[in-house]
Amino acid sequence: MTIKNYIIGFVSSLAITSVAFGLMFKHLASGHVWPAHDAMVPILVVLALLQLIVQLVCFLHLNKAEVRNWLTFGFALFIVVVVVGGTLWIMNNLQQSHAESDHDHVTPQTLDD
Amino acid sequence: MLGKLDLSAFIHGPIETVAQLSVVFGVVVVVGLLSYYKAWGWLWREYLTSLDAKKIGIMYIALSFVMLARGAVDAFMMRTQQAIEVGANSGFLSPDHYAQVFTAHGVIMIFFVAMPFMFGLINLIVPLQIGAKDVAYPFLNSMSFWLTVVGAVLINLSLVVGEFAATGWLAYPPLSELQFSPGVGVDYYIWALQIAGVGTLISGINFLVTITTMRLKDMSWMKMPIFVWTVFGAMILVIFAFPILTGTLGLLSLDRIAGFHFFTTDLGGSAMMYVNLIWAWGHPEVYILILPAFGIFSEIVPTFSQKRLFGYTSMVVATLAIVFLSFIVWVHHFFTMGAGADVNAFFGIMTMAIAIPTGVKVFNWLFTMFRGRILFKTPMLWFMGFLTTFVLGGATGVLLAVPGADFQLHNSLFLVAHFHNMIIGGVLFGFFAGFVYWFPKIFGFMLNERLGVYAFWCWIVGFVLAFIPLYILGLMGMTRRLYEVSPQFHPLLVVAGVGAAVIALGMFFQVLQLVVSIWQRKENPAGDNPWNGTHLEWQTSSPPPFDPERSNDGVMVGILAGLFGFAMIWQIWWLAVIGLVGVLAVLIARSFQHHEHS
Repeated sequence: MTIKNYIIGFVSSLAITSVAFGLMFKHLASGHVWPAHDAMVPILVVLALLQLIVQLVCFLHLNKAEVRNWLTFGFALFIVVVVVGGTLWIMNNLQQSHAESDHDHVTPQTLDD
Repeated sequence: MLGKLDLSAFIHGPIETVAQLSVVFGVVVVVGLLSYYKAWGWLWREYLTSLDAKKIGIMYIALSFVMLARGAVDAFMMRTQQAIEVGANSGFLSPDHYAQVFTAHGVIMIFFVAMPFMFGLINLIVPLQIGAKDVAYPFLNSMSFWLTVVGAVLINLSLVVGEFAATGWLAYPPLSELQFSPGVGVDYYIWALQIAGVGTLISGINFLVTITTMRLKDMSWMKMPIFVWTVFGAMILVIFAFPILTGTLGLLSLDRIAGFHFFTTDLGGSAMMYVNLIWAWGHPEVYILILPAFGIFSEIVPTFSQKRLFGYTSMVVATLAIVFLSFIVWVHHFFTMGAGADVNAFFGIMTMAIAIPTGVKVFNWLFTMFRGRILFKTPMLWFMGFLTTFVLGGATGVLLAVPGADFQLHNSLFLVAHFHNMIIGGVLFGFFAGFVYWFPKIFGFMLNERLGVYAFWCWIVGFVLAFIPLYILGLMGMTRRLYEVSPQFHPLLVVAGVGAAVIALGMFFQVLQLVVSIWQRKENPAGDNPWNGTHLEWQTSSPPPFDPERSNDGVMVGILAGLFGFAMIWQIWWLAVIGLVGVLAVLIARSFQHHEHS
């Protein structure tokens, strides 16, 4: 039943979003005490991943054994790994080489081509 | 009430006022002509609200031609400025205006000439080639087109109200941040691209679904024409690359509107992150443009060599290899930013590797021509012009892929010559070839061959004259975007200016070709298959049957999105809310109606 899927997806998306916002407000209102500052980031990451899974399964029909959907998902994962991983690698590398060299002489060139 | 908008937005310097008046004059002339010939109803019913992919394709191409004229005027202004700026003469443009002109030229040529031209040809031909009646989502197709139009309108509106970005076509921070660009120029840039970008993304999904699900039963993947394959590859790139652009520009607008610090130099921002992200989109973007052009040539070469395409399977593999590799090369646009040797070497090698599948394609076309009985019609001439110029551009590209060489040539006119080599000689010649090749199919009459040949020769000669000097100037050390030029560069800049004039003559012949061909359309009927093409589009009548289905909602979404964009640029918040809520209301209302199409 598709309608059922959509409703389950809609309700659980809303629930996950409200939990994330609720915890954040709680965090700010309690003066960064509960939930603790160090706990907030992992919590939000887990909730975001949950949100992702809910949307993939309920809205994008990734629950079926349809090869095409899984292929697309695989390619999407590949692109995410390339762009996010590549960005981390590049930005770390830039930061290191800029930190190592003499600060007076390094002006990052920001001219495009 | 009106945000940052006041009367001073309408007041410009003398040259800008000419541009302002010519936009207003152009609009008045078009509106006047349409009213005089009582053509509004016809235009509205037959084109503006049509859901037929071919009608939408024709409108895309019309949009791209109008914007090509605008972008070309920008190019001629730059060439003139650099050619006459010598000795005591400081040229005719102010420095800030010159910066706006080169920014607008780049943005317009990529986003509002090449992209609409590409989507126009795809709309015209892909459904016919796979034997589908229309695309998978005809309404979304109409909406995508209107969102693209909104982007183009906003760019031209910046000539009349306010100013355009003076930052270069990718609007690098910190220059594009509020601190250094306090005017609305960058906001025009951001919102024109955001709105047009949504349209592009939806089109990408639309055609991917169309190609995947709507082929004739007998057309398996490995029986698809190469043009369909390359469009398939390009649409995959659109779907995965354009969200990066939207996200990056979204962060930049948060910096500008809401005081965030993603890309500022202080408070933890990093301008280098912007450069990294924008090129993670920007590199796939150039392959989005070139892949369909490769596909067009793969249709044209067998037809005019009167042979089967050589190496079909290797063409498919090469296309898919380009799709993969184009996501792993983006650092070659900023080797000089300061990453270590490991990063630069990796991306340099990847960049050289992507030349391999492209080379495979070139050899396949050559072997297709080998021992064929070649007919030198205009589409084939465009192909041969492409082949000679594109191989040169590819060679300079591989040279630039070597980080050591790039340190010397980065940001020089050598680089400018290289990418014009790829985008004029590759993309534009390809789309012109496709336009001439498929024109008879869509309109039912032939384009004048003689004027087409004149146009081609003007373009290729003008291209060589305009851009070979830039290679030499780049090697001499001249950097790009210069408002004032050292005297030793002057002679070659005059040659480049002459080249631009020859290209202008070529464009004149193209307009003349259209006018003459329409005038003599009765004498030159096309017949169903004028070129003896072998694919499905030639098995139907010329013109093919049009679908009468229409909807006003696409135009409505366009108008409301345009209001939203304009309001965001000038920070007129109440109007932005009206525009955005309006778009959503139209779409929600539409989802409650019953449609044969979705």
